[in-house]
Amino acid sequence: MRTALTSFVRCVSLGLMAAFASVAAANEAIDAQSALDRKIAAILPSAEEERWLRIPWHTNIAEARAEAQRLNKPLLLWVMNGNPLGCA
Amino acid sequence: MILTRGPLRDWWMPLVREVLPNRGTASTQGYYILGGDGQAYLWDNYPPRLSQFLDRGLAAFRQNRPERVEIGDELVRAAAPQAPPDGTSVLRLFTRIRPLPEGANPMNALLGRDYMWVLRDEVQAILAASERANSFAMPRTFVGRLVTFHLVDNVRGQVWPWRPQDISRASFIARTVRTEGKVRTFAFNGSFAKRSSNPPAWQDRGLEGTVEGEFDVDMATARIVRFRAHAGSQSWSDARHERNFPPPSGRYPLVTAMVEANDDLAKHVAPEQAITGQHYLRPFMPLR
Repeated sequence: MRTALTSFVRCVSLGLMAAFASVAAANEAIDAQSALDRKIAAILPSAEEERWLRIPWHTNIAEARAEAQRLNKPLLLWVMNGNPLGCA
Repeated sequence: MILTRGPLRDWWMPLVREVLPNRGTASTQGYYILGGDGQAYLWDNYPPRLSQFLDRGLAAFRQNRPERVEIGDELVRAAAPQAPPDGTSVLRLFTRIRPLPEGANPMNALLGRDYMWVLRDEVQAILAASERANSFAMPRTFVGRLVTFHLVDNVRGQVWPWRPQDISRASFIARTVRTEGKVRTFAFNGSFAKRSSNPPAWQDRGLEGTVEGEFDVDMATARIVRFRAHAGSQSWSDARHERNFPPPSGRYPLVTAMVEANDDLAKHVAPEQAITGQHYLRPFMPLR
């Protein structure tokens, strides 16, 4: 009886240890993921740095010219080596 | 959209000469005020006076309104932005110098931006490799493109391009994290180093660091649906052509964030070095 009880306790202990190990592994993965997310979030642009994107920029000068004619307005053309919309 | 060569050049170069008669061989970068007819009114390239520039441009436009011209489909096609190959996944990259070394030029506090294309066959190669082993090397063209063109210090603007032969280390290993439905998640990490000398522009320029990340792939379409990666590196440069806005002296910390970009803008803005065509798409990296 004592042996059976000991085995049961051992089984329960091993079961608990396995459960704790898998919870620990999962927590470790979540911690690693959130650490990565924090490092990335620290680099992403602030709202102030994204203000220029509120302007509905055209990426095709011919389409922009056609719209300028329709609206009878001038165009602001922003030229970069690379591309201002994400590469400046 | 390339203005200085290709079908738009014949329109663009005379326009530049009109507003920048003393340009010589200098860059055509900057701000322009144009009419819908394609004529230029003004040019400038100094952001602090942008507001006054816009006022002057509007006044010039009102004084001399353009005539209406036909803008045909051919011109619209010629002016279309460079499109990624079919099935390409797009990443958005942000780079900063963090922490900013004391005494560094204020331009070093700016944010570098670019896009990166990940080709469908590279994602397919990752999926195929994950069927054979739990841990595997990332595709060479992906690694070559990332290290050559995207792990760069672009916070002060345009980067003098790196060459694949400048790379002395580029080792990136991925592993499968889980598969849920049609989405497989991968983690990856790696390290890289590159160095070059190109006198008189610079004697010594280098960058070395590590990358860690995780991404989800839709297995049915071989598209990246989520991408999170961080690169931490040490950079240095004694570039003389950057004398107006020099990088920090000595070695300085550079960090890059990479995230998926599935919005409309990402479909219409090509990576800066995509202009080099196959050199960008299929970088040949001599490093073994």
